[in-house]
Formats: sequence, structure tokens, C-alpha cells
Amino acid sequence: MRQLHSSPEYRIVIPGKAVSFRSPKSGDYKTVIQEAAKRTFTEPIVGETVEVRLDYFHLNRRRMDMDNIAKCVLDALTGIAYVDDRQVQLQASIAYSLASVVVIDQGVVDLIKPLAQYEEYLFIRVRDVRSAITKPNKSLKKGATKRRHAP
Amino acid sequence: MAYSLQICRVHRSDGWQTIGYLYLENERFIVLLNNLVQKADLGPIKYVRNKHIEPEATMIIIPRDQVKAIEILQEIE
Repeated sequence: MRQLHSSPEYRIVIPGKAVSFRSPKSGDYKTVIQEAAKRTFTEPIVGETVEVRLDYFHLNRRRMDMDNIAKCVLDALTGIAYVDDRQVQLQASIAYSLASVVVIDQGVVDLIKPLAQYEEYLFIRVRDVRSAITKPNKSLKKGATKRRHAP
Repeated sequence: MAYSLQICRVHRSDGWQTIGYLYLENERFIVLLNNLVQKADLGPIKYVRNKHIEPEATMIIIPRDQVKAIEILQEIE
């Protein structure tokens, strides 16, 4: 089981091949992302430390340029997942080629569930990191340290 | 949802064998899970995860065209 932070994590699944922001199809792809995002987000995150993670499952044997795909996704989510893409302080992308055996070491199981329906898809995870920071323990006096007892 | 994963061994065309819980099998892929902690989450994707914990596992995705045979090792109810 993975310990999640206290802030909610929002997920969006975009079936099919992902599109680079340089592609002439990027406009259509952004529309698809936006329609899917509207089903997940009721309002944009307003915090200034948004984290966006992309996991792209594809059938190509060649290496994917995730940087250009990420630009397209971040642009599409503006105004729906967050107000401005400058809020995104952490962005991570990974591509998995399903043309050969893929091993994902200790990942969240939700990542692979779309394989039941789709051959290729982009799995987007968005959350506000700052609201996940845990509050300090108020029971401790100033300057005191928490003592650990041996089991 | 019932916990009904089977432990199986997948014989691959590259000569390797992979053992794990058979999570998904369709015309394109076979997905095995390993290192499961407690029960696998067999339900649909949760598009908003509010809970503090979430199931994790090592996931092995094997393309169907690289599978020679699937051998069921143990049935789990």
C-alpha cells in the first residue's frame, strides 16, 4: 500500500496515441484532454505547487519524446486542472513500450487498469503538493524533541 | 468485488518464465502482479483518490504475441 499525501490526486485517462505539441493534431488532442479533464475536475487547483505525472503506454518500439507530449498536456489542462501552467512545479513523464515486456516496480495498480479497454493510453495524475504538507505536532513544546522508545 | 486472482506461470517466447497473480488477460496483453500487499484492488479506476493509502504492486505486462503458454499454479478463492 502506498502512503498518499493528504491532498486528493486527480486522474485522467486519454485513450490512443499521445500527440506532441508540434503536431498539427495537437489542437484536437488538447480538446480530448480538456473534455476528459472536465469530467474529473469541478474547479481548478489554485495552489502554487501542482504536481503532474504522465505515464504513457504505447505500442511503438522507438523512444518517445515525452517532453513534447507533456507540453501539449500541460497546455490543455490550463484553466481546468489549474489556473495557470506556471503553478506546475513538478512534472514527471515516463513512457512504457508495450511492444515488449514491461515491468513497473511497485506502482499504483490503477495505472494498468485501462489495459482492459485500450491498447495505448496516457495516464495523467495531478495533485496540489502544498496542501499535502503535514502540520507540525502541536503537542510538542517548543524546542522539545520527540523521544522514541525501543520496542 | 471478490478476491479471485490465480497464481500462474507464463511461458514466454524469449525462453523466460514469469510467475505472478494473473490480473488481466485479453487478446493483447497478460498482466501479472507481484509483491502484493493485502488485497489487490480489482475495482475500476478511482479518478479522484482522497484516501491516504492505495494498493501498490509490481506489475508485469506481457504482450500476447510473446506468450507461449499460461500455466495455472494455484486457484485462490
